[in-house]
Amino acid sequence: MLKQIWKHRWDYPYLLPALGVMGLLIVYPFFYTIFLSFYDTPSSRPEIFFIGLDNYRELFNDATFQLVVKNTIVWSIFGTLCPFIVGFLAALLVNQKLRGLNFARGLMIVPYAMGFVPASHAWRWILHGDFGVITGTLQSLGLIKDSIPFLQQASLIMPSLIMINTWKSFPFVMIMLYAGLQTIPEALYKAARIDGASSWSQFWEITIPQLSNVLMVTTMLLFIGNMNQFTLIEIMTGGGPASLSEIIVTWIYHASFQTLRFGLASAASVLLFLVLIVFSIFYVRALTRSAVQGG
Amino acid sequence: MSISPSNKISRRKFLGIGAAAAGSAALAACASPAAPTAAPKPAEPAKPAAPAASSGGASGAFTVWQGAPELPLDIKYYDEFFSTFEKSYPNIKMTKEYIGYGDMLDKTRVAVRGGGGPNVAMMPILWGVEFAANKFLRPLKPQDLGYTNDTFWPKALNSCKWEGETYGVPTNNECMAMIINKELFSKVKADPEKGPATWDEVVEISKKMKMDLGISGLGMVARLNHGNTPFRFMPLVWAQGGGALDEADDNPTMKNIRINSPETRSALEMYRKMYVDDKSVPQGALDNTQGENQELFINEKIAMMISHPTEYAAIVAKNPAIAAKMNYVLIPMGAKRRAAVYGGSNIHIFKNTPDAAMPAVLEYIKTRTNPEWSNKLNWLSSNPGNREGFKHPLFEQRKAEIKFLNVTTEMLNHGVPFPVIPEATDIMNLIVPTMIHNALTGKMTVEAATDDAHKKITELFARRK
Repeated sequence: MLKQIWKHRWDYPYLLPALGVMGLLIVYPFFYTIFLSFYDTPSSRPEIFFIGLDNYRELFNDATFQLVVKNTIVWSIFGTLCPFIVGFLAALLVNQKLRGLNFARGLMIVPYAMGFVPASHAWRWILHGDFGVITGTLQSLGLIKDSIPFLQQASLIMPSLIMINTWKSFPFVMIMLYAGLQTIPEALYKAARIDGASSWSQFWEITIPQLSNVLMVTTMLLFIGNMNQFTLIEIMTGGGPASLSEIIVTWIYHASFQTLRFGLASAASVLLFLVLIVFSIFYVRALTRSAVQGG
Repeated sequence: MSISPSNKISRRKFLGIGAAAAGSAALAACASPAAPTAAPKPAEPAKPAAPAASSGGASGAFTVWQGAPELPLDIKYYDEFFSTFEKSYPNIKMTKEYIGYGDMLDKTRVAVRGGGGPNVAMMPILWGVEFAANKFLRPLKPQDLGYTNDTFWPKALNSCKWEGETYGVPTNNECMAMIINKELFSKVKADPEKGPATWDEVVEISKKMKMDLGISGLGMVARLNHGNTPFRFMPLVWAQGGGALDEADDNPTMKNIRINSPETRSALEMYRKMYVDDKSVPQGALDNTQGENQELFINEKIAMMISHPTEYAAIVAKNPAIAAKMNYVLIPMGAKRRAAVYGGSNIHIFKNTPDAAMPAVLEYIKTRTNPEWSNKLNWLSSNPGNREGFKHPLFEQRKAEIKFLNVTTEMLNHGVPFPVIPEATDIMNLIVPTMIHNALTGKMTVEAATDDAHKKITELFARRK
């Protein structure tokens, strides 16, 4: 090994620019965030104060942060599950050899092609309690009297956000799984049909096992993406009202840039990092396994 | 890195070390701390402002941040001011940047902590003291501009002071009024000329509007982290005899927390009743700002709103027919008093301004706060911060031209300033709206919501160290 390093010693300087950028943009902020998590940064003072583990203690004892964690779990699970189910069904549909499906495929990609910012703004107004087209239509049809504040009524906020996320994310699942479906050899289904396997059996015995790695990677990507989903929630609700739609990433942003509690936000960032690293390990393992099996 | 025995370290120095944190893609999701953009200089000791230049010979370069004028006439006067200033002072290079009101506080906070930001900023009356307490501002007193303390309204000048030092001068001051739709008031047999006399009447009329006409009464707005929210809620709180602290008292100490007093609770209960029980206010209120309110008013979906002197001109431009139905009345009495937020803006000089640019900066501030430009630059939206402006012929012209200016000017007598403490923006823009949200979403009772707000303010004060 040392011999190899010595042999290539003149190659290593070429890595320095990349290592410098990584150090500046990844390594340094990483350690700085950990460092800052032990400090208090009051908005009323120019100094910051070392407070040991108090930020972590505060996070574990804070009722709002507990709600935020609960919201994050609900959001990440259902925000993954719903697009996954819809996307899987869509992938199975577009994998059929039917007329007009090319058009349907194109149409279904539209939400994914649309940026998160315009989509979130559009849905915010569609669901608005006073100006929203849904409430307006239902009222003009005489179906409801009072407007429905989808993004402000406690029981409706999270379901509404998950619905929008499903609309936005299912094409991603569809594309991934459709690509996976295309790789399953038709011969497997032919053989199964000769053996008298039902469509249901073919689905469970051929489709699912053949797609397992793609399913794993897609789910992981979706889950991690949802854990980090800042744009949609920030634009549509800002995490409110009353933190009812706040998830950890939006909470970190608000703690940092609205209340200037950089230390507390850094502590939450460290905790989130620890959670995400676990999922990232699973993701990398699944990806590696997929690559090995794919040859 | 040196850490003093008291475990203190200059935040600016500390954040300077973290300059590279900005833009970290990998850790962006895991939060970046202060995200400074450049290594800031260490905090400097307070410097007195340089004497004002007295002629057009002043030179220097500086940047100015301020909210954008919105109405055509305001835009015209701002354009005229900047072009006149540039012509009068050819050696001064002034770069102005308009920042949206909703974004300006967060942007300024982050920018100055990163060593950037403007040299000069015109900011709402509530914000300056936080920057002063953080030692981001240069001292600036009326005398530096050739004025006296009496040039400005005492309440307004007081909002520029922190720990005995003055850090800015007022540019404009105004109070809001209650704006009503006379026709809708007549329809529910409410007085279209006097409007609601008390806050109890506001609740009652709102309910009538909902029951009889199927529209909302009061245009409630309660968006989090938006100045519109406390400007419309605190008048009710003060009117009932409550407060966030004791800011409405004649001699406030800013130490007594009254956010969970029975009086504040009665105000929050009125809000809760209108939103939850009667559904007599817009159901999008928790996310609405005055922008949405104005649209609802124009579409006759609400009958009352608390807003600026400028609202009439804005609505005339959009819908003259609705403007013809508008009436400005005094904000109603509560159980204890009539109150409005003593609003306006102050102009401040940041520490990053080089000494060499100070004569130019002072000349700029002196020009824009003189009686003439105090009137012109606040033609529709406010009143001169410089009291001499009220004696200027332009003020008489404004009074004649601007409908309802008398009502909003009268409300100045009932103006209550927000607490002049560094935590004021956190309290008014975050803690108070969160308290409203907690009560109006049913997440907490009114009592629990006010107690929660009390706890947050107490913790905020404890963090002063």
